[in-house]
Amino acid sequence: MTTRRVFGAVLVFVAAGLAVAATFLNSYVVQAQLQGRTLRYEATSWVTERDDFRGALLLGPIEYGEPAVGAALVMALAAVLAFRIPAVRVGSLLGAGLLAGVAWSAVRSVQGTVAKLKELEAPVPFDVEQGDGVTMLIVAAGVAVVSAVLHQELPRRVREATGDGAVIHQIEGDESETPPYGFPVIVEPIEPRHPQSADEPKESKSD
Amino acid sequence: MSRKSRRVIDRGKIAAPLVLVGAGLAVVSSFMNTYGSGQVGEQNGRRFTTSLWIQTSKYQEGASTATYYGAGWPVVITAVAMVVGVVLMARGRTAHAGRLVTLTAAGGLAGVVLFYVLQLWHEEATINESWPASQRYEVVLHEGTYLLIAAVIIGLVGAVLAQKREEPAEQPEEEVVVHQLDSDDDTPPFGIAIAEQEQEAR
Repeated sequence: MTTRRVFGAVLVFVAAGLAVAATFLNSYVVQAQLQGRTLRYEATSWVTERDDFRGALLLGPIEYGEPAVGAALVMALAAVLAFRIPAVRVGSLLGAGLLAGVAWSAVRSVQGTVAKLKELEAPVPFDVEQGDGVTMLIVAAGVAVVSAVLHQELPRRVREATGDGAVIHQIEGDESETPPYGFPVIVEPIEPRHPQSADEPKESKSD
Repeated sequence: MSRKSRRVIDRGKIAAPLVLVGAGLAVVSSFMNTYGSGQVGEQNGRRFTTSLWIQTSKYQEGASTATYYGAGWPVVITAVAMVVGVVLMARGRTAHAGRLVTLTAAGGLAGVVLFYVLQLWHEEATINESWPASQRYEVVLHEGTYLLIAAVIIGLVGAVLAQKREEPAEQPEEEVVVHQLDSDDDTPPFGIAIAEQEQEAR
């Protein structure tokens, strides 16, 4: 169980790293062929990397950088602090949820940009591609959710949840338990109903 | 029952309604306008009113266009997932999965809204950079955005409280918890009295 949690914590770190890395990759690329030239627009989540259209399309970066880094920080901090304070473990799941929400929004924004460029009805067809950054962010969010679930105390909690009422503990190595009908020593064996040794049955037969 | 454990149960009882209120507010806010945008001082010109689904403008004679950050479906679906989580939490067997679903969904809603609000913030700054200094572009938040933020905070508080309910049960793990059963069929230390009565009869 501890191994699974440590594995989960390590994976939470990996997911947080992937999320941060994703913010530095291209979030989307717009491309158009104009008079034999290829014009490109590229942007990471922080800045516009390349704009051959010189602002004519009013494109801007899809700025998922800050929320993605924020979610990654929550996850990483929760993974570290959970070794000391177990209750902080829920933070990794919260961070994973945040990251999933941000990734989803980033995808929706790329789709929104595609829709907006179609609305322009420009004579030149624009080719809008989702960049590696958004793809990586989706992967990071997927890894984050799985690893955050691993990071939680799953099986033990399930057992606690099923035993809704009393929790029964088996006390091992305790010889002082009372048998269901009391200790046999108290009742003087006049008529031994349940012979326990091999010698006793012979006696009862001879009687 | 100790005061401490009673407090824990109360916390759990508060959690589910809070999550439901958060989810409800999120859905309600998706029907409201989230922000207005346009040039400062221009009232009947190119001013846009945006909800989570569409953008409208008087300039365009009521025509609506898609928004850049179509957060409508993500908000509604994460809110529904929060409700599903609460329903799962109510059942003993699925309670644990329900807590995980609730927290992930509440986190997801927070992520969507955080992204949305930051985009609005950046939109104002980005457009002002490209505009001449005499013209200012402004983004004015409407009630929908404030309601969304409230929904996120309430939902997150509820989802985290729902998790905390489990924590005190974990701490005394190593100690044995003794429960007093209400039933009377415990065996007394020296057996049940019936055995003696049988002997007396003989």
